[in-house]
Amino acid sequence: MTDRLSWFGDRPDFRRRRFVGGLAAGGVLVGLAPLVRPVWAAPTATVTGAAPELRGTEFDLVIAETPVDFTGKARMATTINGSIPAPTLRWREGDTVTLRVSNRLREATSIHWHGILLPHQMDGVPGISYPGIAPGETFAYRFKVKQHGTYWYHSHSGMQEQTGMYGAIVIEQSGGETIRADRDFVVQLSDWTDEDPMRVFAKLKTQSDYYNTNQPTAAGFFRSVSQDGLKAALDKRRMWNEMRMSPTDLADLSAVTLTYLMNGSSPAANWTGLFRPGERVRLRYINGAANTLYDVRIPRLKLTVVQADGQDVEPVTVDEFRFGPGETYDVIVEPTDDAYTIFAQSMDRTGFARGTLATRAGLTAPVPALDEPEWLTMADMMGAMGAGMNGMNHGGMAMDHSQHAMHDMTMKEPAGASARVRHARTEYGPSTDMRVDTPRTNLDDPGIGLRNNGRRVLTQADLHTLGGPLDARGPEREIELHLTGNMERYTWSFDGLEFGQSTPVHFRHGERLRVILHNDTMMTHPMHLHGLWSELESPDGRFQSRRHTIAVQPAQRIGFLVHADALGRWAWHCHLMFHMDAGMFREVVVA
Amino acid sequence: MRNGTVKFRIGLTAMAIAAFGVTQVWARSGAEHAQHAGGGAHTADAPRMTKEAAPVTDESPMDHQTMPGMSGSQPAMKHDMPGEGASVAMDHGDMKMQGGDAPPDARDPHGYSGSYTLDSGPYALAGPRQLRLSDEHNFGALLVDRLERSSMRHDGYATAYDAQAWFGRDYDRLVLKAEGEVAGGKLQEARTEAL
Repeated sequence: MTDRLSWFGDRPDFRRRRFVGGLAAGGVLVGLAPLVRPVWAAPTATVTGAAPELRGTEFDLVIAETPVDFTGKARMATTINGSIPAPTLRWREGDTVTLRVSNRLREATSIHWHGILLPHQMDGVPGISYPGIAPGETFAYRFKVKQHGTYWYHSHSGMQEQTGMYGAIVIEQSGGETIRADRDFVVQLSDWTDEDPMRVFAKLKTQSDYYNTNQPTAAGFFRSVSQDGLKAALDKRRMWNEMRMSPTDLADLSAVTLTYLMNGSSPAANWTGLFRPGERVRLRYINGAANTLYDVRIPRLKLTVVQADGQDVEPVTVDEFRFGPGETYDVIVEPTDDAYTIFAQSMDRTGFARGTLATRAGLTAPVPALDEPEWLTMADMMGAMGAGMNGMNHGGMAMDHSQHAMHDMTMKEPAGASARVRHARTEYGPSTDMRVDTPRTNLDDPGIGLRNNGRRVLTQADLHTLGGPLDARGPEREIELHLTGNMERYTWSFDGLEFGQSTPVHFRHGERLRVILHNDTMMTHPMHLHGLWSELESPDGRFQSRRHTIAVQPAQRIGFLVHADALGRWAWHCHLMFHMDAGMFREVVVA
Repeated sequence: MRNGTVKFRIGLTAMAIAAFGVTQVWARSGAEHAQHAGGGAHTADAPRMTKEAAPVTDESPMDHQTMPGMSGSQPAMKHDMPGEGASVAMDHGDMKMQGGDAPPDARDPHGYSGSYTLDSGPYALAGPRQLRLSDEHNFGALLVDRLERSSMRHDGYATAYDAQAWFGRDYDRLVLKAEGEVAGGKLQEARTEAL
């Protein structure tokens, strides 16, 4: 595990030197990979931009270090077949696919097929599904494809996902696509850092707001005074100070270190998808970022969402959607003008990824300005109790609205997840910097920064998977886990226990159970359960959508049903890579 | 710096943050101390709200309260918007969002394990547990808050320093704190703590 370490910042340089030394060999091996390269590309350089496509049932994937330059600084990436993103794999529902993954790195690697139902030994999580793929080894994955839609794949080892190991999976529906489109593009969002990701992580351990440039300032205070008066401004500051929390804790990383990518292209490189006016264009959005939640829109175009996490949904038309790492949304657009900007701003509003839909290459459309970052509100901190309270105007009357909240919750309670909040014993220690006693349960909140922005923003309440739940049975039992953390120490966990101190969560084979996730933090956590679908419910227990990754908002409590039909051990974690690595990670045993 | 003696002063305030990690396992002994000390500067002193915490996790605190002016007709689950009317008392009163002691009926965090562990039970990989995340690795930091050197009329130079370093894990840490003053080549005042 020596690559987890970095001594005082000199170390990345040592590593780079070694990388350069290793180049020639890496380049030759990458050259052997079945990959069509543009002739102008140097044989060893990482191919960026729209990913190459591989089809069929047999795939050879080679993992190696290849140089890349997104920012003007040459860096080493870990890549699959030498490209970022990795090749788009096109499978057919019903086929059995074989994927031989060869490791040409000097460290172990792995590939996880995100959202794919498969035997647990094929899931690709080192230490849970298998030991991982050692340097020089080839591992053959083989499984039957039992689903269709948009998915993706990525490394599950260390920080390799952040350094380039992610690609799209598109599975054609058996019997032909039911979603009609004239064009079909994968739009994969990701984030890149020129720093060694482990060093970035170490900085957050030291100072968790290292990359937060939206901190409260003196100037901001005076603005607040002139808007809300002195007392309100003071109260607001006092409240956040007393809690020792930051009101702008929207993302751990920001554009200070990240370059936001769309299909492996920086905003300047401007990935472009071509169409003819009047065509129906399907955009398969994948959030393959390590640490960024994106808010995506295309000014002047309506987005009709037709799939979420690869599952067909009742079409719903919106202007914008937010998604976290791990989630996918397929949307249909019908452009008629010459050019449109696909704009994906980071949730913390420090930067954006951008691409273009155009009738011919070289056309561009205006790029919108970033929205202003918004301070977290009482609802993001205290849930229902905070909802209706106003984070800006502090006066008296503390409990007024919350009474209604409780009333409301009780009325809805019978069929849905139980409203009784039960914190774990281990949440009363240094691992947990806040607990929410009155969570919000509504799904119709687009989240901080998207409320009342004048645009129609997708919420989880809008999504209804076609065909209903996989299993008509109601839950036999209910389990409750809390998402916890201490921002100051940069620890993240379930129930206040990081992975190393945890025990697995046991699902009985064949049972139908309800899982409650209760977010005791101020951040949104995209929670990814491997191997099994998470069927999200409304607060009153009605089926909403079938997901592999559910973003749980601050102070929110959600319920989802699981049909525990897949034997084995599975990973379950926050898909913000740093939260996962810090310990917001559990093992699930289906037995 | 003694008053009047400073002719000119070169102030250098450096904040260096250096992060490092080491492979060897840090002994867990002395953990309690380190824990408190580690957060002492910013986190660990008990938040005020804690004291007021009523032992309520399993039922709504609302049940006990009489609320003036509730009408029951408002959709409370709606999200709040800046600019909307009602407001919050800043003193969080009995909300006890932080700290405190676990109530006796707090949930057992291992209650769903079926008594399996990460390295035992069905489908566990053979041998010792392989997957170790950052919560089981050591990190460290050096923070220099103050490093000043001043020239004095008669006594040469004076130096003042205040630095803190820690090494260890999320909760088990060794913390070193050092502050002091050197003037005229003599140590005037110093305090060094290992916690």
